[in-house]
Amino acid sequence: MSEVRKSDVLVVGSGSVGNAAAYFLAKAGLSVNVLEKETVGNGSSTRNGGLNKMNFRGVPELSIAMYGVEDIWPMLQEDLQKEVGVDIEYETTGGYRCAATDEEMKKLKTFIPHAEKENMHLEFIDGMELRKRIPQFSEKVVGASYCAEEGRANPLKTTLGLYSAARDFGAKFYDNEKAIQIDLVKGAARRVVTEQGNVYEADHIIVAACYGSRELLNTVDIDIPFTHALCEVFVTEPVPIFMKEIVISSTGAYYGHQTAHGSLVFGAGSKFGPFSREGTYVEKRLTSQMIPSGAKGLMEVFPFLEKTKIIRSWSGWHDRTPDDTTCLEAIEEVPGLYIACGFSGHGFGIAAPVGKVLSEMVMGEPLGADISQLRFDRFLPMDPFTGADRVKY
Amino acid sequence: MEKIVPNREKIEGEFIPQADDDMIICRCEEITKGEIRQAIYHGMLTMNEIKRYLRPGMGLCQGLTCTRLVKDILARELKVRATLLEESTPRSPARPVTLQVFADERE
Repeated sequence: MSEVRKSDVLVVGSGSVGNAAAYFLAKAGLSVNVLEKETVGNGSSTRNGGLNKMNFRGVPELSIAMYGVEDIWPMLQEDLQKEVGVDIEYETTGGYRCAATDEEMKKLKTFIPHAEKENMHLEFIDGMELRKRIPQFSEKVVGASYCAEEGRANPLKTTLGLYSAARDFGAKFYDNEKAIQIDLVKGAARRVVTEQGNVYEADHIIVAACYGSRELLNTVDIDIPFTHALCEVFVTEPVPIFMKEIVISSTGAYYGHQTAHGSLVFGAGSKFGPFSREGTYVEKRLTSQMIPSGAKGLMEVFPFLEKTKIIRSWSGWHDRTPDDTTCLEAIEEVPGLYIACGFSGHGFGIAAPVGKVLSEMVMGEPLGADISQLRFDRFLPMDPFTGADRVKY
Repeated sequence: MEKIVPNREKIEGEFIPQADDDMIICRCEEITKGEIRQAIYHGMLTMNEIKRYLRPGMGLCQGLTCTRLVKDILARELKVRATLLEESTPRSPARPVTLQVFADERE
């Protein structure tokens, strides 16, 4: 039988971002309902490598990413430990962006002006210096750009820890409830209808449903042109800890880190194309190319790992925008509607500050970060009649 | 077969410690029965969630030993039949394989 469930805030999507928003809002005393089409955190939130990359992050995202590094992640690390006894393993470890040629090294330096603007600390070191710091690096790495602000967390524990804590603060989670329509009441977003026939009413509706957001937002005439791209990750057996920094190749051939647990979690941009299936939902699956190309990339930088065993691999979807940068805003034309989607594969690193900023927007507090460049209308064409920047609906 | 949709609103009863709570269930990751039962009371209501939250089945044997045990514990806490619970997602490779083997491109 269909039901009507009311709350102050409704979050669509129980991933790291949705759960973080639910956590901060429930903690502040608001009533929160969370809808999830599968089960809690079964999307890209628990399928990523857990990196917070800062170097070469989309420039408009840097402000909110810095908010995370400086305030939100360390706070969350402490709070979740106290509240639900979960160690999310967040650490600002620093990270190396490795170059295999001098040409790549030159390219790495193009990020300097953006980093300076946000007070990020970049350091350019040659191969010798890199091997002095981490002797396991092979000669194939000729240099690296070190960014002190990069870090990592355990995405599984973060997503589920946030869920557990939000639940303790009174947030309600509904599984197997796929939101299919947003209803407007007097022009404002007030209701969400699910495939199961239930109706959820709220004053504020947050859409954080990864690639599912596009279809849902289409019901209120908002279209964010992202496609979904398949991405794969593998993990090795634990080996003695030899580095805590995150490591990314400047060409994207490999990226990952050694977890607090000792295992190496690495993904690879296999360059076999984005596997985009726009508009259709295809099962998350593995291709046969990713692990071999990732294993090859990893062995080139860390040859001593050749006998290390890969024990598990998995895949997930990116919701990839044309500029690889997220959309985060309170939609002007639809009061009460907030969007956080299009994270393009590096959303987990800013999940906590995005959740916090969403809660600040809902509660009308001053925002902790500048998100003015993250509006979705940057993808819209100019209005051909009036020349206005934004096409009005 | 009908899938069990976890009811996240409440779990009946409170967490009551049991005498064998310190029994190791997942040998690879050294996770005890008590830890698994605690996780269920923290809201981990599916096999995948327990796996992600605590790591049973994420070690070298990939759950060959403990999956059924974890499932039985979950079924008992939720008071449902174990056969109705969904499995955690199996992951390739079925046996650990060295990086060297994966990286070898020869036919």
